[in-house]
Formats: sequence, structure tokens, C-alpha cells
Amino acid sequence: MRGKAVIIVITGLLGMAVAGISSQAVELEYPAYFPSPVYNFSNNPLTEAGINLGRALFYDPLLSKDGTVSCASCHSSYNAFAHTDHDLSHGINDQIGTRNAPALFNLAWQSSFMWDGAVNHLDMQALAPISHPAEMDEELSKVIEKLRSKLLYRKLSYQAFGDSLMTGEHLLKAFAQFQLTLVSANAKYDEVKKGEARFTVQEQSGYELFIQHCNSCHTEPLFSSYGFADNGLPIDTTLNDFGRWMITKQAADRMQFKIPSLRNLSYSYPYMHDGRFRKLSQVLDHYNGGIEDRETLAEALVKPMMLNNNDQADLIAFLLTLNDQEFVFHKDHQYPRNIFSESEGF
Amino acid sequence: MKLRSFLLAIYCLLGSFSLDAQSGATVVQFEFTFAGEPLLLDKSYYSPSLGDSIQLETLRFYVSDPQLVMDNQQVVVATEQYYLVDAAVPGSLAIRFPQTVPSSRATLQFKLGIDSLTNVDGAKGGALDPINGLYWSWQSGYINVKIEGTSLACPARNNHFQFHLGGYQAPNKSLQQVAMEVPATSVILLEIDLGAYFNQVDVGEVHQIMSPSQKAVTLAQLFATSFKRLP
Repeated sequence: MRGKAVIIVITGLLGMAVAGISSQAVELEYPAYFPSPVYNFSNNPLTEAGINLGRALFYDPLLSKDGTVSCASCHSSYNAFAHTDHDLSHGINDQIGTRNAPALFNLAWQSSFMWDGAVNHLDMQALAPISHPAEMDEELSKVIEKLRSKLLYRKLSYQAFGDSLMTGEHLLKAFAQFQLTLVSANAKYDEVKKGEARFTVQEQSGYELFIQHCNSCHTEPLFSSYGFADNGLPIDTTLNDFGRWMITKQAADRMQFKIPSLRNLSYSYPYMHDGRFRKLSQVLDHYNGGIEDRETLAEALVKPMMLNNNDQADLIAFLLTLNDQEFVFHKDHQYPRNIFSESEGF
Repeated sequence: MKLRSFLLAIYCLLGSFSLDAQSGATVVQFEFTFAGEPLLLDKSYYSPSLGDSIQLETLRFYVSDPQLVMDNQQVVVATEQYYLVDAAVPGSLAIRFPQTVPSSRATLQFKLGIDSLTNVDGAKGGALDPINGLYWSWQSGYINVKIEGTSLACPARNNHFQFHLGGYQAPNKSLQQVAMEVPATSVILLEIDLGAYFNQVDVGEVHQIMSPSQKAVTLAQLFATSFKRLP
């Protein structure tokens, strides 16, 4: 009897060591003035273990065909998960893609992904860069095979989903869990919203200009409606990217690109779907006088903004209050040294 | 809900009868043929309409929500909601219902493909795991039917044709409904005649379908009409 009890206790302890406290549910935190997330958490409840697994996957170049490129290669935490200084995304063998790697944050509030909305759910997003020949160029089944051969992932997978054999579903859900935790809501703007800080006179003036000229598409507090719009960029004939039309082939979708958030602009340059602008002033120049008038142009842009130099300076001052330093330097979002440094066996 | 309670009432009225019925099972078995012969993947068949030989190397599709609707409107659902049928995997060719057809005849119905709600509901496991290769990675959505093969009549590279038939959004919804009368029997054989299918699909004309389109819808419709019950 006693022997049995000891075994039970030991088994229990082992179980706890494997499962840890990390299978406990985690609640996504966000400010009261944010809308409700669109992500359906009941299909994929956040857990510490699920987030851990997703974070390890995000930083692991094992996902790519030749083991050289991870998600973080083009989505760096220090750049609000964009690829600063690179106009177009990179892949294995020094390949260059056709679009600017977007910043990743507040993904729980988005229901379509990619500049053209080709992906309809955060869970499914990872499939695209994994398989794209100019990105990771790897088959999902091969990724799963590689992960199953690693003790580390058998352990992480067991902790997260009670199954040491990784599946496509679990890989995608873990990816989503980590990305869902990338909430950016601690910029100066947010402090002002919470009554913890005040805009300067210039920032306040910029905020008013923003509401007047930008908010219809870059809607606060997320600073995007996450819809699609044609913002009048002249076509780059070296890329011939017609945006959402490439997916839907519907005339109305020509030149429609997903509206990006204006949070964290200082960390996530260059701007636009093809990264053509390196500076915010160039972006404002475009909206002030560079818009190409055409049938699909967003209605809000038909009338020119006519911002003078002072207005532009004020607007930029306001946009800089959307930089969220706490988010960009958050330890929980960075390379998971502790996970990867664990011994392979136990 | 009303319908469900109505069905439940009928179920209770016919209690003893249904209890007997529950002891059995109905199996729907898919049988692929080409012009009357059992289809073997990678084997060469002559297609009179192509005027050339044709080999099929991949034949996979989703069947979802299979139901047997009895004469008395009682509905029996299959043991699984989603099936990935693969001509290369003998174990994938059967759909099981937990009871026999108690009435003299019933209607067998299922969807050929994955419905739009499931398409936008995030990652799924089992038959629906994207690892199974019937999911588009660059543009979200399930491939409802995948048919690949070669024919000298096909002008594409290596004479290879690839039909990846999917699309869940208007105007290119490729999901198809299949329904047919079935008798009271425990094994229902469904023949899918690829010979007849390729009499209607000219691989000299259409050889690459890899995204939602009207062509994909048409080819999916034709495929849905290829299911015939064998007496």
C-alpha cells in the first residue's frame, strides 16, 4: 500500500513537472477603451504553455527549408515585429519577396491578414510564410516531422495540448496564441486616454488634425479600421501589385490594401505595402499632394488634405505619441533563451 | 430546435423499431471506376473523348455532414462530420452510420467539400488538419476536391493536369450537395466513374486550377454528378 502511494505521489509530481502550472488559462489583457477582440478564444484558449510553444516556434529557424530563417527574421520584436530598414520581405537563399513585412501587434482585433487579406484567420496566417518559396519554402508536413523529432517540442507540445505528437492544428494554434499576446496599448496616447498623462499643445493640435483627416481609416484606439482601401499610391511597375484584386479578381478590389495601424511608426519604417517611404514626412507628402486620383481611390482621400508645414509637424508630433516603447522592449516577446537553453532530455 | 423535438417525438413513437435498428450499421463505400473497370491510380486508361490515354495520380476529396434521411423524416448522422476520402488510402473509402436504414428506402445526402463557416473558423484537427494537404496556404480555404494526373492530350508541362477545386466565397463557391435515394441495406456502394467525368472535362483545354474560380465551380459540379449508387 505504502509503495503504491509513493508511486502515485511521484507520478503526480512528475506530471506536475511536465505540465507545470503552465497549462493554466491566461486572460488577454487590454485597456477598457479597446473594442472586444474578434478572435474567438473559446476555440483556442490562451495558456502559458501554448504561448510558450508559439513563442519558441516563432523564433525557430527550423521552420524554414534550410534552417536559416525564422518568423523573427522579418518580424523583429525591437521593430514592433516589422522588418526595419527593409522595404520588401526576405526569405531563404537571400530571396526578396514582393511586399513589406507588416508590424505584428493587436492581432486579436483583426479578422483578415496580409496586405491583400488573403488569409481569413490568425490561426491560418503562419501557413503562408512557411510555404512561400521566397520565404521559408517548407511544407507543413515536413515542419511537423522536424518538430516531432525534437524532444524539446515533444515536451512543449505535451505541456500545451496534452499531446507530445505535434499536429498541424496545434502548431497553428500555438502560433496564434503567442501572436495574440502581442498587445500594444502602452503608448503616450494610451496614458492620455487613461488620464495618466497630457498631450503637449502641439500633440493636441496634431490629434485634432488626425481626427479630421486620418481617423476614418486609421480609427482610434487601434489606429486602423483593419479594412481595405486604395490610398492613391502610384503603381510601382517593378512589382505591379494590385492588392486585394490579386486575390478576388473583382474590379472594385483593385489597389485595395489592408489599412495598417499607425501605432509604433518610429520602430516599423519603411512604410506602405512595398516599403517605398522611409520617413513619415514622405508619407505626409504623399497624402498632401501625391495621391493619384482614380476610380478605386478611398472616398476620404478625394479631397486633398492641404496641410501646411506647421500642421504636418503637429500631426507627426501626435503620431509619435503612438510609439509604445514598453511593447517594443517587452521581455516576454523576445527570443526565448530560457526555453531554448533547456536540455533536450530530462 | 422545433424540428429536433419533432424528430425526437417520432423517434420515441417508433422506439422499439429504432432500438432494433440501432443494433446494426450502414456503411457507404466509395468505388472509383474508369469506364467500368475498377480505377487504379497511375494506371493508363483510354479516354475516347480525349482520344488519348490518361493516368490519375491523386484523387482526394472532402465529404462532410453525411446523413441518412428516412421516409419518416428521421435523420441519422454519420459517426464523423468530416471525411477525407483518398483513392490511395483504402481505409478512407467508407462512411459509417450507427444504424441500418429501418424504412424501405431513405435519402443519403452529404456535402462534397467544406462549408464556408468551417472555412473561416481557424485551425482544425483530424481530417481537417492542413497537414493533410487539402488546404491552401497562400489564400485561406480548403481544397474540396483534388484531382491530379497526366495525359498526352494535356499541353501543360510534363502533360500534368492539376485540379485543386475549392473556394467558399461568392461568386466562386465550389461546395456541392450530393443526394440520392438508397434502399434498406447495410452496405451502400457508391460508384464514382472517372471515365464519365473525363468525358466531360477536356484536359487539353483546362489543366491548371489552383484557386477559386468559375471553372473550379463547374468542375466541382461535374464531379458531384459522378456519384452513382450501384444496385
